[in-house]
Amino acid sequence: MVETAPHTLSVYDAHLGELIRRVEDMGASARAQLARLLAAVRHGDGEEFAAVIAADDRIDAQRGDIDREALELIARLQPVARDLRVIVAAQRVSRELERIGDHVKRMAKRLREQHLPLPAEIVGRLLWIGGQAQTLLTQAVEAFVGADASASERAWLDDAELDRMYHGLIGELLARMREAPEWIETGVSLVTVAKSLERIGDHATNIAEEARFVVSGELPPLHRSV
Amino acid sequence: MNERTAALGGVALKKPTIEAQESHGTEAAALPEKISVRNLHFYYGESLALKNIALPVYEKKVTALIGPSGCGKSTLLRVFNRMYDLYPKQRAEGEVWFDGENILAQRQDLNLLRARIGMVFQKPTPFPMSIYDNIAFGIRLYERLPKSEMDDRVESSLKRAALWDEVKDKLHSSGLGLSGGQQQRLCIARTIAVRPEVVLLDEPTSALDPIATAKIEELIYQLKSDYTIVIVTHNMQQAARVADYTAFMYLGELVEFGQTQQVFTRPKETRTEDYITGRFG
Repeated sequence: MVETAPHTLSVYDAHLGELIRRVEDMGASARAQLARLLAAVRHGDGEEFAAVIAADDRIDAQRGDIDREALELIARLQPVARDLRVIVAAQRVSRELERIGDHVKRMAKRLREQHLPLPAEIVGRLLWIGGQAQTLLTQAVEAFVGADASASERAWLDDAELDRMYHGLIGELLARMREAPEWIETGVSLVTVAKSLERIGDHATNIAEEARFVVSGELPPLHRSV
Repeated sequence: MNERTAALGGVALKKPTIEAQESHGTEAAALPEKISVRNLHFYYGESLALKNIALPVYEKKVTALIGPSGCGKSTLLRVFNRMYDLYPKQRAEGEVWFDGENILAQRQDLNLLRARIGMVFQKPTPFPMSIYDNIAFGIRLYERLPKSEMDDRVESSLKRAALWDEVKDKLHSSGLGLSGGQQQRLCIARTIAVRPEVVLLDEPTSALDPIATAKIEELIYQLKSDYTIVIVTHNMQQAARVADYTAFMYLGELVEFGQTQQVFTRPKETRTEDYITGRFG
C-alpha cells in the first residue's frame, strides 16, 4: 500500500497490513491456479486438471479469512475515510478472486472431460488468451496492493484486448462445429472455457478499479470506455 | 441464541454468557487467570450493587468493563484492590482469587495488595511534587534503593509510560506543570514503578483530548505484554479498540463476557447488542 502516516494506535496499522497481506496471498493463489490450469492445457494431462480442482478449496478458505478479518476491523477500530475504503475494497477484491478461482475450477472440470490432446491451434489460442488473463490478474492485484489508481484504465485496455481475443476464438470454434458436427460437444465445452477466461479478465479489471476507489473514493463507472 | 426480554428494565437474574476461547473457532486454550471472581455480591449499606458476579481476568490481557452509568463497573473495579475498605458502609461478599489467595479475606495486607494491584483514576492525580519524586515516592514506600538504582527505575518507568522523551530534561520540575495527557501518563508511570502485577484503569481517558487518548490507548496496548490490565470505560469504542476481553454489565449484573471481537461482532445477548448498537443506555 502507498505509505501514509502511521496511526497513533499501532495495532491499527498491524491489522490493516495483515488484511492487505491476506489479499495479496489470495491473489497469488488465484494466479497459481490459473498458471497450473494453463500448464495442464499445454501438457494435456488429465491429472493436472484434477489437482487444480482440488486446490480451489484453499481460495475459498482465504476469502472466508478476509471476510472475518474485515468484519473484526470494522467492529473494533471504527475506520473512516481511506481506512474504511481499504477494508471494504479488500472484501470486494476477495470476492472477485474467489470468482476467478471458481472459473479456473470450472475450466479444469470441463477440460478434464475432453478427449485429450486438443487440436494444436485451439490449445495455442487458449494459452494466448490465458496468458493475457494472467497478466491482467497480476497487474490488477499489484495495483490494489500498491493503491495505483491509474491502473484501472490500463486494465480496461487490456481487458478490451482480451475480449477481442475471446471473440476470435469463439469464431473459430463456431466454424469448426459447423464443419464437423461430431465436434459440437467438444466445441461447446471449449466455448464455456473461453468464456471463463473472458470473465477472469472482467474480474481482474474490477480488482484494478478497487485501487481507484481506495485512493479517490470514486465508485467505478457504469460503462467502461476505452 | 439471543434471549428476548419484554422490557430492558425487567431483567431476571440469570447466568451470564461467558466465552473464553482464545482463537477463532479452534479448540479453546486454557488461559491462566490472574484474578478469578466468584459469587461476588457488593453492598452500599443495604443496597445490593453487584449481584452474583463471576468473572475471569486473564493474565497479561486487557479486560474491559462496559455498561451504562450505574451498572457497577467502577464498583467491581474497586473490589479488586479493596478500595471500598476506605468506606465503612461498603462491603463485599464472595471470593476474589488473586494468585491463590482470596483478597476479600480479613487478614489481607491492603498496602501490599494495592502495590501489586495498582490503579489509575479518571482525573489525573499527580502529586504536588517533581516529576522525579512522583515516581520515586511510591518506590520509597516499599524499597530502599541507592540513588543510581532509583534513577534507573524512574527512567525505566517513564520510558515504559512513553513519557521519558518529553520530560527527561525537566525531571525536577513540578508534575502539575504537565498537560492533561502527560499527567495521566505520569500517573501510569507512577503506578508501574512499584512493579505491580495488575493495573486497574478507571476511565483513564475520559478527561483527555482525542490525541492524548490515542497515546494512552497505544500505551495500554504496549503495557499488556507485562501487566494484566482491567479498564473501565464508558466509551465502548475504546473497549473495542484496546481490550482483548470485554464484560458487559447492567444493573449490577454481568450480562456477557467474551473475546472483544466476538462481543462486538456477534454478541450472544440481546441486551449486549442493544447497548453496543446504541439502542439504550
